[in-house]
Amino acid sequence: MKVLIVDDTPSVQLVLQRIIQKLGHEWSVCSNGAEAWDLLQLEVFDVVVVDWVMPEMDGVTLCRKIRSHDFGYYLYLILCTSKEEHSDLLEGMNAGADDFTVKPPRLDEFAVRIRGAERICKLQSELRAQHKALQSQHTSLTAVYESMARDLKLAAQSLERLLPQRRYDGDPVITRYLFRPSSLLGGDFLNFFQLNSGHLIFYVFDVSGHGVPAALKSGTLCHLLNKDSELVSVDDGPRGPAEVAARLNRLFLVDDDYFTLLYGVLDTHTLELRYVQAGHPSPLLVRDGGGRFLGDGGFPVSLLDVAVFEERSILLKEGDRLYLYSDGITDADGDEGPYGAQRLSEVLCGKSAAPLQESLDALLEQVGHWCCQGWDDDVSILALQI
Amino acid sequence: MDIQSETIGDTLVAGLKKKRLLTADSEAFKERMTALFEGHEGPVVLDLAEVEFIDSSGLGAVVALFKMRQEMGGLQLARLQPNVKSLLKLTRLDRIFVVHETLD
Repeated sequence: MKVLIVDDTPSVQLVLQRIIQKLGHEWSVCSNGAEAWDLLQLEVFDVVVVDWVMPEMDGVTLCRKIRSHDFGYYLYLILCTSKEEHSDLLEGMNAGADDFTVKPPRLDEFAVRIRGAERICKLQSELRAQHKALQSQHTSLTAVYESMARDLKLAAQSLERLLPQRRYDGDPVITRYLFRPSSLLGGDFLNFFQLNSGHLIFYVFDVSGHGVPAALKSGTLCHLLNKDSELVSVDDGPRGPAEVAARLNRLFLVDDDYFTLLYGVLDTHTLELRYVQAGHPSPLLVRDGGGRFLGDGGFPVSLLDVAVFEERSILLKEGDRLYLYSDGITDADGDEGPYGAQRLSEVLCGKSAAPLQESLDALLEQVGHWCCQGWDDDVSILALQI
Repeated sequence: MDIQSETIGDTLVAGLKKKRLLTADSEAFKERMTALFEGHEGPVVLDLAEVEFIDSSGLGAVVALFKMRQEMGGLQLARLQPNVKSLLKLTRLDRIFVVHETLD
């Protein structure tokens, strides 16, 4: 240990030096508080043995000053005093002294006090080492977490770049959508495009799981399901929805995870919609102010090799609205349970006369109210209006 | 992951004591169940009486376990709550799984 002796009496300095040396510690000497304060700014000590009465700065003032300063380590303070009044001890303790010794110092007693200081200093340095180790672990964990969060954000952004145009005002279809990935980044995605002059393709899917793997798979799927892909078109016409799902099922069967898909092909001349529902929630058709859900389910994609996919069709008419959504909305959890498809239908039917975008905004607002606590699932809903 | 299991005859009944089977739990659930399968050759019944909600990864885990047991007497489900039942209907898995209304 390094001990700083602060005493203005040379004879006392000498006695303390001898004792400390005998106990095997290093020492330095100052003859008043001010001098000691200056030295403490330059050197690190473990223990300060300080006299009470000194010129310039007395011992109690020095103790107070030390305690109000942040050295980054603990200094053990022993106050030497010839005073033995109870009130003096209290004043010394209030100033921050750890221990007391009487003047003139006696070897045996002082040795015990120094050993006490040594124990405390050892504990202090162990604590400091542990604290340092924890801090460095915390720093590296924070770095890992930040880099993961950054990766997730980047993955989300690259996925968002693949989204279609926000407002599509085609003939005879207009589309609007909402897309908001959760902070964990789920595997939701939606898309639509004009395949040729007679067909509009649209789909929504939801890859099981969260995070980068789900986002990667979403990206892969989006690239597979594009305008120029042979998965989507054959002989210049659209491939049948059920066949698209079956092909995807074979392609991804080796993976551990799966996805749900709703894939539709709209003939823009006849307004016949052909679609496949692969484990995805049933789309809502709003017609003449009333709502009904299309389809009654179907196997998800790449979950089972025995899965078969059925094509369904419906003839749409002018004014019809079709909403394709993922379970992030219907599963949204409130105090009274999940939001559910029925409430979704009520809100969207209630807004059937309002502009398409307004109906989506109203739904988002309602679901937000439903989940009074944080709602952080993926939101994707694609709306088409004939 | 709290799963209570007992063997009745040649059937292993495993009850999942959890309200929600979510992405975060699905790996642990799969591991625990796989450990229970160890050394058991008959059918396994997964009792979901307490499970109110299963998310997509949770469902993936149940199907993975089903595949694992296909050659070994199968994995059946029992006592589904309405929400879980409709999830199975939506995904057509009600046609794949044998589902029991009770544990009898």
